[in-house]
Amino acid sequence: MMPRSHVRAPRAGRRTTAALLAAATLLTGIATTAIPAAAQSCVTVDIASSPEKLELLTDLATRFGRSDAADVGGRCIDVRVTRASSGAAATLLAASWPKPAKNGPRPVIWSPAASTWGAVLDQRRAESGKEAYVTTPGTSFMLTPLVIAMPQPMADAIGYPATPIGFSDVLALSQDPTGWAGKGHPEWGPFRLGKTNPNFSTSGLAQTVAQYYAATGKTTDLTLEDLARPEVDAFARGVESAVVHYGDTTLTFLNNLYRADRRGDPYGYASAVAVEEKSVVDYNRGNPDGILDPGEQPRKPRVPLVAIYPKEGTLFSDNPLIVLDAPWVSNAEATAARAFTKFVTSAKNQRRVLEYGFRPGNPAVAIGKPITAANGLDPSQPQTTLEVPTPAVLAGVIDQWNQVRKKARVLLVVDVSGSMGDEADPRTGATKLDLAKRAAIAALDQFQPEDEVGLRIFSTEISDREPTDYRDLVPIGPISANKPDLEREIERLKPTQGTPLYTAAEDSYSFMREGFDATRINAVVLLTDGRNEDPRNEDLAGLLSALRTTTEGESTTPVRIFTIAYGNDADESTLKRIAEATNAAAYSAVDPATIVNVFNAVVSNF
Amino acid sequence: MTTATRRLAALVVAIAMIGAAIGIRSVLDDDAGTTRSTGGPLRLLCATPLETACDELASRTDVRVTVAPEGESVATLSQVADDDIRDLGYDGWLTFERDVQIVRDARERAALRPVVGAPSAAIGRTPVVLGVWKDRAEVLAQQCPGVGWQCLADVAGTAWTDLGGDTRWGSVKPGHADPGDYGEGLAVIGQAAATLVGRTDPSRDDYADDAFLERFGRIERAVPSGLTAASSPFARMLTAGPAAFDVVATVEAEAGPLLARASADRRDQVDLLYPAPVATLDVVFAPVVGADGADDLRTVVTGDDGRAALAAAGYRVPGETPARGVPATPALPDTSNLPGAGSLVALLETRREITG
Repeated sequence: MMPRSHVRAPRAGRRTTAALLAAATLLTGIATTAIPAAAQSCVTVDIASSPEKLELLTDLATRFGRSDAADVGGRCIDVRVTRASSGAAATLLAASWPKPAKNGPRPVIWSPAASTWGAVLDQRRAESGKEAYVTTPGTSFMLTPLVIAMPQPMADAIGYPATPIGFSDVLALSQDPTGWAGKGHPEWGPFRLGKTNPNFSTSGLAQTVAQYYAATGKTTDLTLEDLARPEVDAFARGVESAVVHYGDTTLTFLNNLYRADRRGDPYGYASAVAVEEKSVVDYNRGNPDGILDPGEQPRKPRVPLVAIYPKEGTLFSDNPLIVLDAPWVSNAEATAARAFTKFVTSAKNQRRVLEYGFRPGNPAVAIGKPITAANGLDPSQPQTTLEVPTPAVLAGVIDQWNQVRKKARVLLVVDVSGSMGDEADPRTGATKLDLAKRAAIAALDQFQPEDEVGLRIFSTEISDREPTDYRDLVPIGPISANKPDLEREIERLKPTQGTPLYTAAEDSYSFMREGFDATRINAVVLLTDGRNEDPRNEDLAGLLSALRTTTEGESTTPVRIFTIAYGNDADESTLKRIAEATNAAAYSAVDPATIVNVFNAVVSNF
Repeated sequence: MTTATRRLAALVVAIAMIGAAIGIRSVLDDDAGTTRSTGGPLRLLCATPLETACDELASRTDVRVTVAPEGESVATLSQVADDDIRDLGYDGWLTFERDVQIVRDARERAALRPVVGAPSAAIGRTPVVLGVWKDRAEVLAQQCPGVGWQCLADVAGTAWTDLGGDTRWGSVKPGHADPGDYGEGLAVIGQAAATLVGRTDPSRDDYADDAFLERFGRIERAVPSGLTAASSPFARMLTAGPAAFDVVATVEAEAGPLLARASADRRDQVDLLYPAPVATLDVVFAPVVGADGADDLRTVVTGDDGRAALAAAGYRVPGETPARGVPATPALPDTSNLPGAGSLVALLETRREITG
C-alpha cells in the first residue's frame, strides 16, 4: 500500500527466528557440522559514500558487524562501504546505476555529503520521466559546515576574525588586480582561489551556490531569473577567473597546499579554498586528505589553516544516510539499512564521528575537541545559513557554472609505446590503447566549446625529424573546431616503440608555458602505461627541479601536469612526483577497465 | 556412555527444549491477544511522529507495526476504493485526531464508505511548543511583548541587525515540520493560524483575508526550505545550532525529551515556550472497518502497553509516568484548541499557494 513506509517485525517472529537459529547453532555444534551457511545468509547492505567519510563509515561498519545490532530477523548484516563522490553517484543513480561490475555495487544506502544531492537526483530522474529514488528523507548522522580555509597569516591580513568576512569579500579580493599587494603582502602574489567542480563535489556545489547568492546580494530565494542577470553572470565569470584549477575533490587542493607548506612555500599555490570544516581539522593535524596510509605519520603544517565562517551564512554538509527506494533494494536490505542507521546515530558512535572532525548528528553529544580554536575553528559558528535553492535552481546553478567557468587550454599527451598494444580485455581482445582511445574520445564531451585542446603522442623515435620522441597530431585550438580532428587522430593511434617519459613531460610542459594564456587553466594531461625507457634522458631529479622552480613562488605562468598511470606497469610513483611538482594531481587507472571514470575525473579539473 | 550416545541424548534434549519453548511462546501469544482470529499478528499503521511509541509497543507486544507519514496515509486512506479496504493490510491506525476526521470527511465527500471507524478517546496528548535560542529570545523581547505567533508574524524574515541582533545572525528563521506530511507541522500551523485570526475555530474565509495572508505568509516564507530534508527541524536546530533555525515550533513530545537528552552546551541555550492559548495534538486509535483484528488491536493500543509506550515516547498520558523532559505544566486544555479538520485542509491549501 505505502511504499514509503517501513515495517517493524513483530516480536514473536523475531523471537521464533532467533530461537530456531540458536537451536540450529546448538544442533550443528553437537553434530560438529560447519556453518558456512550462516555467513552466506547475511543481508548485505552496500553503501555508496562520499570520499571524506569513507574511513569513518568503514570503521563504523566494522564495529556494527561485530555488534548485536547487526541482526535482521535472525540474519546477520554485512555492511560494505564503497567510495563514490556525491556528484558521480547522483549521475549513476539518475541512470539507475548501470553496469555494477564497472561502477561498483548498486547501493542500498546512499550517503552523499549533503541532502541537496538527493533533491538533485530526484529532479534529474523526474526530468527524464523516472521514479524518485529518495522517497523518504535520509537520516543526517553528522554535520560539517562549508568554510573558507585560508593560511592563518592571510586570514590575519584581511582582519579575520575581528572583521567578519564573507564570500562576497573573498570573491572581491579574488578580482582585485593588485592581489595581495593591496593588503601589504606583494610577496604572496595574486589572490588564487581553489574550487572544486560542482558537477562532482559538494563543496564545489555549495561554494558555487554561495557565489551566486553573493552576486545577487540575497541569502534566500535564489531564482533562475537571478542566474540569468547580466551583472550576476559577470560577477561569476570574474570569480572563476581567479581559480587555480577545478577537480573532483577538495583533497587535491589540500594535498597540494600541504606539500607546498612542507617545501616552505605555503602562500604560492592557493590563497583560499572552500572546504568542509572537517578538512581543516585534518589539515591542521598534518593529515590533509584525512586518510592515514600505512606507515604515514601526521606532521603538522608549518602554517595552519583558519576556517572563516562566512558572515552572510553558509551551507552545511549534513551527511544523510538515504535508504534508496530503488527496485534493487529488498525489504530485508532496507530493514538492515535502518538497523545500521540506528547504530551509527547512537551516542557512543557519535563520539567517534566527533573524533573524525565532524559535528555529531545526535544532540546528546556535545561539540568538543577537535572542533576548537586551537585547530583554527569556532564551534559557536556559523550563526546563520544560506537557503538551499530549489532543485530546479540547483540544476540551473550547475548549468550556469558550466558556461561561466574558467576556460581551459589543455594538451593531451598520450603514450603510444609498444606496451600499449597489450591486451586489456580478454573478452573482446581490446588493447590498453583501444580502451584509452575510447575513454579519451568520451572525455572530449566534457569540455566546453571555448576550451582549447590539442593532441600529442609520444614514443621513442616516433618522428623522423627533431624532436623525434613525440609528434603533435592536433595543434591546440578551440575544441568546437578541433573535436572532429581529435576524434579521428585518437582513433588512428597505434602502439609503436619505447617510452621517453621525461622528455615528453618536460617538453610538453615547456611548450604550454611558452603559449601560456592567463585567462585559462593551462594544463597537460599525460597518460602512460610504462616507465621512462629513454637512455638519452634519465634525469628525473632535473625534471622535477625544473617543474618546481617554475611552479612555485610568484610564478604567473602555472602549468599543471595531471598524470594518468595506466595499467599495472605504469610508474605510478614517478608520475605522482611529476604531478605534485606542478601542484596538480596524479590519477591511477591500474585496472584499464576504469580508464573512462579516471578520464572523467581528470577532465573535472577544467 | 559413548560419545555418539551422549550426542544423541543431547540432540533429543535440545529438540524437546525447542518444542517446549515454542509451545510456551504460543500460549503466551494467545494470552496476550495479539494475533488475529484468522492468524498472524495484529497489524498497526503508525504515524511517523509516533514512531518511537510504536517501536516501544512492538517491543512490548507482538503487534506488527508499519510506520508512514500521516500525509501519505491520509491520502491513501482517503482514496482507497471500497472494495479494496479489506486488502489494506492493517487492523488499525495510531495517529492524530484531526487525521482521522480528515479521512472520514474526504471519503464522505467522495461518496466512499468509511475506511476507519470511530476513533478512540485521546490516549495521549502533547502541547505545541516553541523552542528558541535564549540570545535570540532576548532580542525579540525588545520587539514583542512575548515570543509567540504574533511576534513571529511581525519579525520573521527580518534581518536581525534591524532588530538589534548580531550582524552574523542573518534573518529571523522560524522552522517547523512539513504540515503536508507530519502531524506536528499541521498542529503548528493550525495554532499559528488560530492565533493570527484570533479564534480557535477559524474558517476558510478567514484564510482569504489579506491581513492574515500577509502575516501568515511572512512566517511561512521565512521558513528555510532546504534544511528539513534529513532530520526534524528541532533536532537540526540542536545539532546545527542557531545557524539552522532561530526558533522552531513543534510538540512537547518531541522537544522535551530531545532537549533533556541534549548536551548541556545546547540544552542551556534553548528555552521551550508554550504559546497561549495552549493547543494540543491528541493521539487516537482508529480501527480499520471490517478488519478482523481491529477490536483486539484497540484493546492493546488503548490498554496498558499502548499507554505506557506513548508516555515513554513523550506524550502526556494520565496515570502514566511522564518521560524525562516532559513537565506537568502547563496544564492541558479540555479540547485541543486547534481548528477543525476541514479548516486545516483549507489552511494547507492556503499555505501551498503562499509558498509555491
